[in-house]
Amino acid sequence: MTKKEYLDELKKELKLNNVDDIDDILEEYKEHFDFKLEEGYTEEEIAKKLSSPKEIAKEYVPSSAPVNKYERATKITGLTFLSIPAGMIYLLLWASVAVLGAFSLACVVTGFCLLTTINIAGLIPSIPYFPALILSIACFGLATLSAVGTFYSFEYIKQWGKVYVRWCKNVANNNHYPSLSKHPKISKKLASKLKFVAMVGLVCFVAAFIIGYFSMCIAAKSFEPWHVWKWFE
Amino acid sequence: VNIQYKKGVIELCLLATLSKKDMYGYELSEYISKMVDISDGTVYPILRKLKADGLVTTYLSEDSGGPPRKYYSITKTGLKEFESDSKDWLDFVATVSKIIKGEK
Repeated sequence: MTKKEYLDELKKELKLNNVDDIDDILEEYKEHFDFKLEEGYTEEEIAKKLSSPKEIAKEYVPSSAPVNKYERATKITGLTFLSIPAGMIYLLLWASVAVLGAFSLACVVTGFCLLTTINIAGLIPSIPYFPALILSIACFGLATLSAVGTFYSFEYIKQWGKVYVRWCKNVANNNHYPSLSKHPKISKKLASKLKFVAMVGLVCFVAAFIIGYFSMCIAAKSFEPWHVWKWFE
Repeated sequence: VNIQYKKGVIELCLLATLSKKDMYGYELSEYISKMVDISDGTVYPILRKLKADGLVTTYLSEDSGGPPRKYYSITKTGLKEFESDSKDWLDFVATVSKIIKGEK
């Protein structure tokens, strides 16, 4: 059997046995083939040394006792009622991600308006160009920071949804499936890049905000430049 | 020795190995199959069961420079389980060898 034949056969057998997380299991055997190939074995030799896909698939069927039907129905009813408030909270979490995303977008638009002095619907109050330029940098910094925040909260909330569904399945089926990690899979490389981007965003925001404020003060000759420029009148 | 018989012991061997250091799947598989005569790929389902039982966890690491590898590492529960199981096993083996040798 070649590598592909073996993995296809294994996938078929795992499906027949209703095994969960098939991709994860296949990945492990794919890796096994890759390592052995590197050591100089042929695909046929490697497949021959492994147990047959049928036998392996059987090993992945959990040995937990079959669930009592009556007990299962009770649990599912309970879970259904629990899922109503849980679903609402989950929806709220998604809404807050959307709000954070919208905030990030709003920062981009504001920054863009300040930078180009295009005043959409009179949203930008009167301000000299130099502080406006600095404040636009602050806006972009805040936008970057909240974009990274949006990405992380999106990934986390997605993962928590999966964790909840898996937990429900496990309650109903006597811990039939492996529990999932509370953390989403974000590769180390991406995580360190995002961390860097977020730090740059934070520094830009804080520095530009402070400089922007004082340049406004100097331009208006007052610590409350918004009164001098009559922003709220 | 009977295959079913070995499987139970492999669980203990895997915990013992992981109690010393983290390893990725293939590394563990090779290590164990060199020591115990089992067909390749037998340890993967057992590792998965250990993970489902919360005795080991996995994490991805790219330390070796190549593609990210899934490393297995033992949990606190796993360590406790290993300590009590290995004691049971050693007692059991001692008793069995006594019986085999016909000591009283």
